[in-house]
Amino acid sequence: MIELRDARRSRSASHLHEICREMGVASIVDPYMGLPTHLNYLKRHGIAVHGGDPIEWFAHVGQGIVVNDSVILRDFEIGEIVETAPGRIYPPDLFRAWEGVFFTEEQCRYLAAWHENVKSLRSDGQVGLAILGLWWAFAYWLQKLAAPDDLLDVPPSELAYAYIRKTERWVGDNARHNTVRHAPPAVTMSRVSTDAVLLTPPAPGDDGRSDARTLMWEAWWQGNPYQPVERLRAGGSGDASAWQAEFAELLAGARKFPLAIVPTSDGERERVASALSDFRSSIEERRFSDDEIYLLAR
Amino acid sequence: MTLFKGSGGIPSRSAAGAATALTHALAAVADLAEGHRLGHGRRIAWLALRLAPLCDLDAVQLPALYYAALLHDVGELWLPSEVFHRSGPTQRSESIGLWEHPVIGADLAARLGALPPAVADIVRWHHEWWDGTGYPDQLQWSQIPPAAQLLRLADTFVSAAAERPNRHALPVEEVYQQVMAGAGREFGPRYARAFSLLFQTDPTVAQLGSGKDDPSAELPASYPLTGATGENVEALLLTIADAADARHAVLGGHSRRTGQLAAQLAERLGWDAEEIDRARVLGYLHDIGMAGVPGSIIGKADRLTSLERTVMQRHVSHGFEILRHIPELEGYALPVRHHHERIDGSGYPDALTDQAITAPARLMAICDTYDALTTGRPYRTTLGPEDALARIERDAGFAFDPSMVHALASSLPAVTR
Repeated sequence: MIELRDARRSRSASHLHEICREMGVASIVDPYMGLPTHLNYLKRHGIAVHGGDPIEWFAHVGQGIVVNDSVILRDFEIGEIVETAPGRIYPPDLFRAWEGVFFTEEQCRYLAAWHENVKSLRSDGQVGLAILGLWWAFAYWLQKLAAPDDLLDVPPSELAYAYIRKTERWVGDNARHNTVRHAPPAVTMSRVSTDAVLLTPPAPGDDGRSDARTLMWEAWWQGNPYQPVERLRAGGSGDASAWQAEFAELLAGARKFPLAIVPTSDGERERVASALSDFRSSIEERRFSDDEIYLLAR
Repeated sequence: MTLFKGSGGIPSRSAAGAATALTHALAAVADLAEGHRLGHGRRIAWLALRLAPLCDLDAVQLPALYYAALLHDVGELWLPSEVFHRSGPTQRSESIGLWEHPVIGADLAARLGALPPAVADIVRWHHEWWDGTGYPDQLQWSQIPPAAQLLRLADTFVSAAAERPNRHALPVEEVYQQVMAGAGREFGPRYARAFSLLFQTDPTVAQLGSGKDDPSAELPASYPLTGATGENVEALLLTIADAADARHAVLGGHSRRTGQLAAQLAERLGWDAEEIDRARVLGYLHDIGMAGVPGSIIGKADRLTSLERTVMQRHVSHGFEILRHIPELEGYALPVRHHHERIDGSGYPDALTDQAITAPARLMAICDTYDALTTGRPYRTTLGPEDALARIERDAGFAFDPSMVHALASSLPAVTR
């Protein structure tokens, strides 16, 4: 059984936008962006956004909802993704390792078919949108696994169709140049020049598995259910001094940005502020709740 | 009726009473703008409050839930009205615009000051989905405040079960099935379970969409906004004035200006302090029903068709309906209804004559017309103060009360300053 950890709200796009508006931020980079729906929000509000993540599927979703300005998936294209194509041969055992543990035999077949179908899509934008929609279907299945009586049985293709259909809402043009990279944070930061950098590294002690679904979905995208991906993100050591060193390295790389925005919580605030003060002379705070605090460092 | 300090022209014993009444008026404006029957927010509040104990929501959160339910879609007042008033499915570009309304509403709730602080967060996140696919912030699971999750469910049920301009009401059993199918996607499973229990055991839930025997009528008057101040009351009044004018850019600031002009004329006419303040408030409220008129009609440059004129003229009845159901504001209901009456009986909606039209309504007719003439409309050019006055003087004794027109003429230098 996978552990579905109920994370607290530490960041919300609309509050982040409030801060950007207040601070006059017209461009921003998030080198640890994760699922970049927050960048999409900022994009839709006219800010030039740049993102990066060491996890590849996040970067693809970024291509779909951050870089892509106009391409959506039409109904027949969604149909081609969510169903097995007649005459096409799919590898039946690709995700057999998950069968009986996380998914049913039918679900594993669909995961294999979706994997193949998405790989054959024509544009980066469409790939990103499809990965995002399918991610939600995948997350639904895991949720149903944890609470089988609470969620309806929905046919896999219907479930995936509904979720992919939803992604078109995230597509829009802000008449700005927006980029996303599949890269370590240092590389992403070195390639762009923006008014602000958003730094959301994993919390200290987090072993990179804060949401195990994320890593499973990377394994799905790679087509390898055995792929070890837990060290793709920082914070994995679980050791406070090592975390401090990693965060310091990140902050050193972020020096060129006039403003650093660092989401944190009441429990971590002191530690994060202390690390920030080694690199930034002025630190302000915006507090929306005990769990959602932003340190603004110049 | 006595005017109490800090209640901003509202005949209430306190700022709390005035703020509570005005918040209900603002909620009604939001209902109207979205094309709902009046009381839509209240019906949602009723359902959300019934669900709250079944979901172990702390009783201290109930006032915030109540006001968030009343005002949940207040942000839509500042979106193009065509989204709500035309038939057919919502377009993609409109959906993107709709995403803004929870944030606009939350900012407004926070600015008003009189409301419980949690209202802003509940409004901000009432379109978040439990599976993380909602908006504006894609929160998931317990990141969404429980009160916002309750509101999401109550909003979905009541809205789908009610008739709207762009679609028919769904049968209540079908809506129930729709809600239950959303368990684990739109709604947290425990909230869906609580709803199922309530729906199966309380037949009044099914009446929410029917328009008959509305169970929300049994709600207590409301949770009074006990901490409200005179400043909060003023902020609410101005917000309602702006909301009334939000349907089209040509109306921008009209109600505020009309309120100020009404106060100046009332003073010139020798009305007492309370009457002057009430004239100002009436100016803010007189077009409250415009929220129910599509912006395409308000901003139309050509002659209105007879159907469009009927829709436009309905704004006075809409305003009347809103105000007559709020005890602290019912004194404004008739003047709002009659501010387009003409003393020769050629006005609408009741074709009243002379003194049958109350003095505040006669005053409002002049102030409303003067502001409309001097700020321009798409269908005619803007007039200067003297030309506008000449136009109004021409109609004195036919449309307008001559003594009030005289007061306008004598105060014109002050008005145009």
